[in-house]
Amino acid sequence: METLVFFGLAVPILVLAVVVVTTPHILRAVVSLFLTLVGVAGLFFLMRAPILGVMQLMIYAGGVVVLFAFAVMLVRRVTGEFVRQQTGLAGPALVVGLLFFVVLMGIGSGYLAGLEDEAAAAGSVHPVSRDLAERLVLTDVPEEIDPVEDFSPVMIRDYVIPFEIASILLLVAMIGAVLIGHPLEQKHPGGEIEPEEPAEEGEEA
Amino acid sequence: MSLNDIFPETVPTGYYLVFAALLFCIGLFGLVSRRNAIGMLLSIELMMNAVNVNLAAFSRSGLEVGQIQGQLLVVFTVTVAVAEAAVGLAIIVAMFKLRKTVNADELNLLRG
Amino acid sequence: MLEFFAQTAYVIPALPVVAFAVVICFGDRAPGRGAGLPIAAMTVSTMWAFGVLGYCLTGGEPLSYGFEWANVGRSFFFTITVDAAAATMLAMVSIVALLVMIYSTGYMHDDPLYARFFAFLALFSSSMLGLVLSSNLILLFMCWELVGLMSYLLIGFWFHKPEAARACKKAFLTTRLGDVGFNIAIIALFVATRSLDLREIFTKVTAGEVAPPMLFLISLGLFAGAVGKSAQFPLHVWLPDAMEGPTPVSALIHAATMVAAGVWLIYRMQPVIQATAGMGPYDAMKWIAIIGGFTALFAATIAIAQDDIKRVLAYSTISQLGYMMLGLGVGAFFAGFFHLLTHAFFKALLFLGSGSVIIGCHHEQDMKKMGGLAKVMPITFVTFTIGTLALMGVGVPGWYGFSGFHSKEMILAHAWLESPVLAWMGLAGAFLTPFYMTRLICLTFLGKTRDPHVAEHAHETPANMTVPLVILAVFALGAGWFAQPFEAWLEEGYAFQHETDPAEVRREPKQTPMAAGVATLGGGEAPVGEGADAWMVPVAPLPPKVHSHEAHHAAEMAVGWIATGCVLAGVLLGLLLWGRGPDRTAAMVKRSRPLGLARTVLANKYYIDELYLFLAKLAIEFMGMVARFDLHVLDRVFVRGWAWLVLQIKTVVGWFDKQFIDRILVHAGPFAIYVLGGVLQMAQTGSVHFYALVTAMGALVLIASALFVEGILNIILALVVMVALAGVVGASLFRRQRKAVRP
Repeated sequence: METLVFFGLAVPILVLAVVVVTTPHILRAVVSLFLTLVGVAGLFFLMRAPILGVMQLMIYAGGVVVLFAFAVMLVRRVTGEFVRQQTGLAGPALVVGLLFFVVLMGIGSGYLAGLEDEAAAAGSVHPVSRDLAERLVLTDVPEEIDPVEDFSPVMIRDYVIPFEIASILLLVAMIGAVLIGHPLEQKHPGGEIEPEEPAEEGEEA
Repeated sequence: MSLNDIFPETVPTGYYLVFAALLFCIGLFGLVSRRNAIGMLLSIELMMNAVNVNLAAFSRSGLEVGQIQGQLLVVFTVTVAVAEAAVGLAIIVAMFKLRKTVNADELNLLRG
Repeated sequence: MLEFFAQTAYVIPALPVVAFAVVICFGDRAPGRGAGLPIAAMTVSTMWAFGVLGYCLTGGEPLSYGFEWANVGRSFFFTITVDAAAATMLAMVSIVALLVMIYSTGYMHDDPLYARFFAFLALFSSSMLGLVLSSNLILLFMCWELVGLMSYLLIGFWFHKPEAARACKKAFLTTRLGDVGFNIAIIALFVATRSLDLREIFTKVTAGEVAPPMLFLISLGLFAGAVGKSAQFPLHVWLPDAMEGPTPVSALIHAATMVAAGVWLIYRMQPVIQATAGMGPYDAMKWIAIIGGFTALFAATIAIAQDDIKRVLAYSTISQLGYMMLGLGVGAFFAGFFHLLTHAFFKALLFLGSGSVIIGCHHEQDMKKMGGLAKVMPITFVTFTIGTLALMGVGVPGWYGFSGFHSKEMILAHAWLESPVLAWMGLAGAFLTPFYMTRLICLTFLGKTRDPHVAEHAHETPANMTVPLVILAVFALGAGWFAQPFEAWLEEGYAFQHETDPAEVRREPKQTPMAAGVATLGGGEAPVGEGADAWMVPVAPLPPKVHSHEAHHAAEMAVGWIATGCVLAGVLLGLLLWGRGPDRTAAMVKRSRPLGLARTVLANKYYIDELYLFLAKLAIEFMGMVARFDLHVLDRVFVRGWAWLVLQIKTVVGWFDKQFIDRILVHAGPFAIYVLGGVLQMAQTGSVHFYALVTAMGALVLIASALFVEGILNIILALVVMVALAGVVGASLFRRQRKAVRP
């Protein structure tokens, strides 16, 4: 039964993801991304990771997408003509993407191969962890976790340093974003340094 | 009523990994093929999400009480992704003001 | 008591050395303007020598002692031997040296280098005395060379005179030539007997341990040294030129002592030389006799045509030395030695007398300008005449004669017994000697003074010059008495009696160790061995031929009368030709072509000096040719040719370097980098998509390679593939893209 739910979530997510990457309409892409993120949040819940699910919904779907929407609005062209949305590298990109998937699957199958055949596992190129391979195929239900009791102490106690660094990172990102978005005509203190005038006249594509 | 009661059996972790790989490749394709810079960032978000799913899936395989490092890592990657998205968008907006375009092709001042 | 003198005989040569050192350092400030110390030292040495002589006369045993001077596995000793002969020589040398020194206080009175002269005289005397005493060949050779050096310094005493400078060089070089032979003899002697001490050498030689060819070589070498030192033909050329030195030098060195060193050497090495007697082709003594006899006659012929008073005496000395060698060569060792002693006294007398004449005539040496000096310088005249009579050998056979008579008679008698030819050569000399001496006396003392300047200034010389003349005259007169007992006494007091008696020396004919590579002097009819063996197989020396006493006496009588006859003939002829001055003979020479020619040849000493000069020039020319050959041929071919070759190589190598090495190594690097850079530049498209794609591709390659390849190879493979892919993809794809972007 869970399988059904899983596929019911996974397939739409993938379809929506394809929409994100192919549609010429940028707004359509943003909305599709939103839906994709929601779907992934659902997957998180299915994976017995409610914290992640909630976080995904709040931050990603709720915050990042809004951010994207704002940005899209800010950079909208007035003309509205449709330029070709694909770069010339689309072909190679497809190829590389497929290859990538193949390779990743190759890794996975290697593990699985090792599980079935001990001899093959011993002689294979990459180290096979039988334990890991077993775990990839079992269908036992994982334990439910209590968000507060299980999650928070680990984060605050054992991983407090990355936690703090993450907060600093966010601070830095904030400052950076503000600086980057600052208007260009700002006069520097104590200097007649001319800011670079954007060469707007002859550079239109 | 917990989820485990509703769903007594679960999907093998491998399925999640395959899914994550697919999502990642789709995002990769989009990164290279999308002209619009914001489109590229969207693709990047897809890739980040695929990674998160992957991490969470590994965290859940053999899940015992307290074994939540995978999910914890996801928290941090989300943090980083968000920061990066914010800064990236700021850059795009600034570039737009400068060059009046968001087509990444035309933003090639670094061409050597 | 007299033993003391014999035991400390080394003092005799040592004192004059000290005097020399002091006077050389202090010069004129030394006592007596430099003359005091040498004369004092010489006086003490003379007394000491007479002490030694007394010791030997009173039957003292011969002594040999010395000290160890080197130890190189075996010890070497510097030894001196005091025996009758040595004592006699010591006495003679020291007395003559002393008298010459006293004489020099007058002769060299006005000379600015007065002190140096006495210092040199002192050192010379010391060397000569050392030479007489030494019984070690190295010590003897050292003194020999030292004597030669002092001769050089004293002949060239007036070094600012070019003739004197030339003369002293000539003397040194000529005697040096003889010394080469002496050196060879010493080396050969050492090789043959492994010793340098006379005692050991004589032992080995008498025991027959030295092969005849070796003995011959040694004897010839020793005689070569004597030929040089004692001015025998052909190395006689230096002695007449040595007259450039002050007259006291001529008297001491070139009459009495240094030239006697050669004779002394032969006399001392008698056992070695006499061992070659009768050995067929290895008989060295006959060579000694031949050269001696020839020199005696040869020099006498030159003497009759010389105008310089000292030259006449010089050639006379050469002639008399020839007589001594003749005596030694025919086996009359005592006779030769005795003649040495007598000659020392009367020749010194004659030279000092001539010096007196020269000073008296205000440094005039040409006899043609003299004459009639007998009245003005009576003492000089009388002593000079006594010396002349001694030189001529005037005497009555069997009864008494002047000193020269006895010694010459003994030599000629022995020569007669050995070889009549040699005897006739000696007798011819015996005729010529009075001939030229009479000429000398006639031209110098008799008749009228020919030169007005001389006539004005001629005077007798002061007492410090005439007294030595008188003392020497006494010796010249009286030495003849002592001939017979002298001989006996010498034999008794011979130091090496034991070593030269074959019966006493144990006969052990064993192989003498010879150095490899000693060549044989031709096989010949040696009485022993053939070819190379001749050196290895020693043989005992034959006993010397002893003539019967009657034969000896008869020869003495016969020769004595003939000799006296020759002397009388010579005197008469001389008086006849020169009794009234040189004009008579001058006229004769002018009228007669052959006489004129003869006179020219004799006056020019048979042109031997010119011949030597010519030979020397020839040698120098040859050297010049060699030098020119080296310069023009060898230098051109090897030195410049090599340089040219190297330059050509340089050009070739340089071309190679420029074309290949430079192109390949120097340019290739940057070029490769340029190419690579060009390639890599194609990856800098400026397109973000491209970069992302490439990154993805890179990751793909890495992961894929990790799947299939293990280890470091996988990373390298990955890198290579990535670079290639990046370049290819970028180059091909983005060309299209760029064209699309630009409108």
